[in-house]
Amino acid sequence: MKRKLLFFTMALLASIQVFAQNRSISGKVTDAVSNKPIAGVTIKGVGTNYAAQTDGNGEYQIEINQAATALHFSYLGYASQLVKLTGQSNINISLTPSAADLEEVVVVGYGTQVKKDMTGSVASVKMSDLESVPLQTVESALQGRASGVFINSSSGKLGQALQIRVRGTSSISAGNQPLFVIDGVPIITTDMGTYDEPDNPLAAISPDDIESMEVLKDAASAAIYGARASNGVVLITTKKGKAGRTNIDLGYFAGYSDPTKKGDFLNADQYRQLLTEAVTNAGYIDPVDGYANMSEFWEDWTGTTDWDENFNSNWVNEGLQRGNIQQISATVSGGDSKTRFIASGSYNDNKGIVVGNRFFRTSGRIGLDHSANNWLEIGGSININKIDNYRVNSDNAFANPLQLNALPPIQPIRDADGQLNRYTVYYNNLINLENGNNLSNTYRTFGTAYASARITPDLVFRSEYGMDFQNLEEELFLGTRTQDGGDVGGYAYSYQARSINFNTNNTLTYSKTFNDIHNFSLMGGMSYQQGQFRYTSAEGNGMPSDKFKKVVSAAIKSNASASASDFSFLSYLARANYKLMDRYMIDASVRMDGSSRFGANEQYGVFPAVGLGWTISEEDFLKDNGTLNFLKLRASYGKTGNAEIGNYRWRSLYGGANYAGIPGTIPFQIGDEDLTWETTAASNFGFDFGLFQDRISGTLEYYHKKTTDLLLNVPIESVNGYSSVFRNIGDMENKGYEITLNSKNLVGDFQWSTSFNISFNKNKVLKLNDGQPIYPGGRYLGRVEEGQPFGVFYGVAYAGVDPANGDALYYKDASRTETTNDFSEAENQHLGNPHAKFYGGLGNKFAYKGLELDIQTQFVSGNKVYNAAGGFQATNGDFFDNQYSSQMNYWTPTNTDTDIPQPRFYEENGTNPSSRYIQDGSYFRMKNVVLSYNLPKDFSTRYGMQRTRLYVSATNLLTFTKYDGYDPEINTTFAGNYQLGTDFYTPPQPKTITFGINVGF
Amino acid sequence: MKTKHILSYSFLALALTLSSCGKKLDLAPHSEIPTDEALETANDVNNAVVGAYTIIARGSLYGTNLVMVPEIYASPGYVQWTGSFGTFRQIASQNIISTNADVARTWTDAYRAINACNTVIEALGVVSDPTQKSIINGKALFVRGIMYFELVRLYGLPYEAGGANSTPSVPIFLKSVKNFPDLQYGATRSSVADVYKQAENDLTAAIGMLGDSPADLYAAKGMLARLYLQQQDYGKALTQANDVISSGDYTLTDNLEAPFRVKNSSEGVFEIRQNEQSNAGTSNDGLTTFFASYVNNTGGLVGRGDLNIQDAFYETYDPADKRRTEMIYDGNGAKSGWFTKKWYGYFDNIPIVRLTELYLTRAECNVRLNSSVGAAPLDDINLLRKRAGLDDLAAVTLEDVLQERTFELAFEGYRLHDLKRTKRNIGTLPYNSPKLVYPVPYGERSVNPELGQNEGYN
Repeated sequence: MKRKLLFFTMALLASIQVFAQNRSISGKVTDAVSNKPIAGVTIKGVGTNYAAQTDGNGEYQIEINQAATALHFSYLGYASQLVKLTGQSNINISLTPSAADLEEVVVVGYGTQVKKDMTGSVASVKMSDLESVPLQTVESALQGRASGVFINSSSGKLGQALQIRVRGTSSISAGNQPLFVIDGVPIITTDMGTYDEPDNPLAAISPDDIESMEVLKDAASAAIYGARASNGVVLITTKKGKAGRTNIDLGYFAGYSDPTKKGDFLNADQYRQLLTEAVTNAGYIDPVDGYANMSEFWEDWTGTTDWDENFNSNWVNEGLQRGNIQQISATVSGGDSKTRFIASGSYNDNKGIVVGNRFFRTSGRIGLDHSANNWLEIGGSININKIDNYRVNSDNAFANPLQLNALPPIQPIRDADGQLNRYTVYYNNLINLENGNNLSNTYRTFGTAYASARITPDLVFRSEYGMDFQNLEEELFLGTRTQDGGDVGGYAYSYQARSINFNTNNTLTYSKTFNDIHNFSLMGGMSYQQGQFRYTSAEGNGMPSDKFKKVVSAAIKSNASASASDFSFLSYLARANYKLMDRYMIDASVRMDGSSRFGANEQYGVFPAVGLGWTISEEDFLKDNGTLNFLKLRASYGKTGNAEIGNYRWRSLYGGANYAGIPGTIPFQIGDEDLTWETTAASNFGFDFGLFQDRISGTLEYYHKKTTDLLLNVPIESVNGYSSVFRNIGDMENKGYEITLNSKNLVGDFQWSTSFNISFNKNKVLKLNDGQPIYPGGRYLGRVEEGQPFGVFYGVAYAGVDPANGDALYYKDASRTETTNDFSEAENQHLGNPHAKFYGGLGNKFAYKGLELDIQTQFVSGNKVYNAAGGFQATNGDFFDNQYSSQMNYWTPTNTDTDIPQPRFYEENGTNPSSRYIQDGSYFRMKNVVLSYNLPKDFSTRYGMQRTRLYVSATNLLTFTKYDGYDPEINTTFAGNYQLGTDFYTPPQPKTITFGINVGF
Repeated sequence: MKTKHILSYSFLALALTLSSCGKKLDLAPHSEIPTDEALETANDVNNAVVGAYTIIARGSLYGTNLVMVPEIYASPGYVQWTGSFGTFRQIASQNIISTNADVARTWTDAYRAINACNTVIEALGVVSDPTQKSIINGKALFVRGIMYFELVRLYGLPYEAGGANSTPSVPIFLKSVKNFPDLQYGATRSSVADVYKQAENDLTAAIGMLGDSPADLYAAKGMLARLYLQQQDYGKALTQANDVISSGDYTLTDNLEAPFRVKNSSEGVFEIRQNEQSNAGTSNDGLTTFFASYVNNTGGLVGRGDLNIQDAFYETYDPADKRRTEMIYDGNGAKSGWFTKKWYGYFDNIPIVRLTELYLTRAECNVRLNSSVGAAPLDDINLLRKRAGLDDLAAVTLEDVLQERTFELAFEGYRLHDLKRTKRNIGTLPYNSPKLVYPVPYGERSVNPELGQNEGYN
């Protein structure tokens, strides 16, 4: 009923008007500086929806009617122009390149807006700025370039999901990744694989196909996405064909990558020295009731005689390698005023820095836009991608090559026969590469189609249909020499998963200007999305020999599974924008969302938002100010939701169980039938300014987000038979500032521009269930607690070493006055914040003639990193694990001034989880450096080319950090979402150098 | 005119979209069923009781921890933990911290099993056949009873015969939790005595209901015998043990390895079932994973060899003892050293109560009570010695019986509990040292501070 009413109202808005006589205007658009024609300029008849584009010669022709009062010329990177119509039939104009991007048209939810008129907070990244950066995945383009968007690459594994937080972490148990929308279609970004570390569904998208990305950060811009907007929304716009000459662009790059850092571990001599000290101190060597010597001890504990051999293996080097990368891509685009097209294809081959890690992507795309007649536009695109990803095991798997760090240097890598040594104290996982394989294969297809009908000059109906189809196959084989395959005579696994996501948006947009000063735009519509996931898997063991690698040959089919799950969203939305005299703006939007994910009583939620803007520089008292050419104040408030909790959480369920062939059932989960959205109320205040004709421009923003009714996986007393239940309990707050500054320091022949952004965010958990903290404990220190930042480190505080006896000391309590050598006597306390105090980026671009140098840096400051593997890697010889070389500075009666306790084998002298393994995780990174050269035009044309560009690019060239581990930009994901800033044998980022060429015909 | 057409097309498109979206928010899961539909028929209830067995077969319970922990917790002079799992290391070095994940998972899953049983018991109304009803009820009580017995032994101080046993152990929970409103808060720990009483009552009641299912009946009696023995109630333990032996349903196998390799062997009184598709684990969990270290016939390494047998203990066996010569092997897999052949195949059943235990219990009780119920203790002991290839003893003392018990039941999860009930030291710690009692899991206490903590833990 509700929806019928809504559409009836919209129909009323569509007041029918009579068309007037049409006429045609033509002309040419040129660059005001170079006088060269500009292709692809959009010309719109103001007051109508008539539009046209310039062709390759900068010429255009537009049909308009009498309702048109002016023509609006806009093109990316140029200041738009408005030309009043006074009966001309030919209008030639020149556009001035704009310093600031205020005139830019920005993609917003279900529409576009001129940046100057926006009241919300949107960060925008144009992919043309990253042309020569070898991006592995498209979302990494936001790193360091978009204020308020924190991106942690998580690890140096290829194909792994990135951690993206827009204005802080706003949920505890529900998802924290933003919603990704490609050309209007919300896409599935939940991983489909079976690893406990998520794969990256966005990796299937070729960054070359992307025109721009917009991050909707505040409620005014994001609330139109309602129940899924709390974590921000990333709108990805793909490239479209432009009218004009047919452009053919070819690109190729190739390069290599190395780990940004390698761990510094003990060599064989140091290892022997430390272990001997530890074992001796612990009293194992004793002529009466102990071992006669280390050699005997070693043999008894490890079953090998390596102690007496002469090996000095560098296991760190075995797990890492020099990677290489190459990509070839081609794009053809063009068309005329009636039909525009784009077709592209690319192939990317990336060998990772972790042994066995490899990533191939093949993608192809076609996009078409057609103006059928003067009221109907239709178009669409189809994008097909394939990924082959040889994946690396989860950080905590013995098969993770970084865990080779733990192997003693005195153990050989290969035995006398040249076979990989199987008798190591931890699994020599190199065997998995020689005697197994592990391939993930993704096929992903996005298809979109739209039709846009101009019902009257002011009223447009637009209908969009999108499909996102994804298929994932995992194939795993482990042969008889491997740890997990050997014991069962070989192991094979096969997994097929499919995700189909269908979406439709239908909107009516009415825009009109009254009396030249009242700009109205009204939009209303509905959206429906359904997602379906299904999988089938099979595994078997007992293969005839290692030559057989598929489940079909397994003597024992040890497991098989198949199931499905699905979700749906049904939404209604409306938005109104009103602008008075080009200076007072008010925007309001509302969305009503219903979803299958929520309890039957609480299926619908309403998410309103309002934004206000005042362009002060349009007022008379500032209008002609030579210094301050632009100033705008903005404020917004609204509510958004978060629905990322997985399907069916509100239900109490029973699942099937197998008792060695006897079927049974067990309680699967307990659910709260009142489960519903978590709601984030967000306010945003900002001002945008431009100085000296936009030579300096910037934005300052303050925001406050309060999330209530958190979707919390509340731990419950497990005497109930369940250990947790999803409920709407708890509040969390994020507040902060963002500053963005852009300046054109030098213009003219030698150009220098600077961009800088910095974001401060403070996260605080305000309320939890009865104040109960959530603390998984074990090896991890992350905790959720009222009054503290989400994931705050909590545990025992390490107090160094007792100089008298080498005992590890801990602080007895948070006052940190008294110490104890008994770990269990030490009180738990707060040990640091995993969130950055601030982060951002600084970019400098220099250009002289055809030469360009672009240096983009990125920084993160004030966060702590916990090395959860410290209890293995830095334990003063507590066990057989090889140790960081820092451990050689251990306590001895003569070396008492140290914080490395006395080595005591197996006695846990300082090795329990504590602040000993927490460090400052701040870093400053030269993220991308690109040096490029555009060959002189006459040189290019001599060979039939339009343009030729050569470049060299470096990613992660330099890193400055105090963190002793591999890389501060890590976050192991297998340990769960409360464990932020946690390192556990997590591979570092690669340092990549590439050389490339772009040619345009 | 034209506008009208455009309008109609637009609304047609809208109407088509809307009609296809209809009532699509009510989506039911594909893999699971609503709890309220899971217990509607007799078959449903029977499925649910089978489910309780799948829970106790997990690595957190009999699949690994309830068998392995009592061994490594009492490791001094016996076994050596050389593995890298920090949680088990802490247990082996008798230096546990309250966030230990293995301490937590045993607690959590034991209560999962208990809730499954409580749910079954409350759902019995739909079972009309009285025999079926009685058997299902008996099985649920059996599982619940042994879970309380296992919990009280790990999380509470040792039971002192004649003592008050009033120190807190674990909460008793007898109501089912199926839906959200059923959740309980603020559970308190019952005394050691009360939890023993609950376990005893459950097992006694189970025995009363399992007359028509002998296999389940004797499983319950076997566990009840163990419970009484732990309470040093030798008379009652004797009766239960003797009932099982004299039922004639069980016989010793000739081959010492058979009870561990052959599923449901003639001496298996209570076994956890495993097979290729359902087992406690083959790489990071499961008894074979930790206990085994050998090369299989395709050249693969079986087991992690994390737990080897110390020479000191190995040497206490008579060199002719088949339990040494046949059941302990020199590991040639991931590690070298002595390893037990009891836990050797990932997919073997796990015997929890074997007939040999009941002979040993009967013999011990008879010696202590100076009686010969069922058989003279000397005969029971010599029966086991004979099978092990040893000469008969001429006379038997309590020491002999306990020694024989150690030899026979080594590595099967008895050691810690036997040392405690006989008040022998474990390494340098006295039998009732707080260090030999698990902490209350940290996570449980952060949800419910009422629980309190055991001595020596934070």
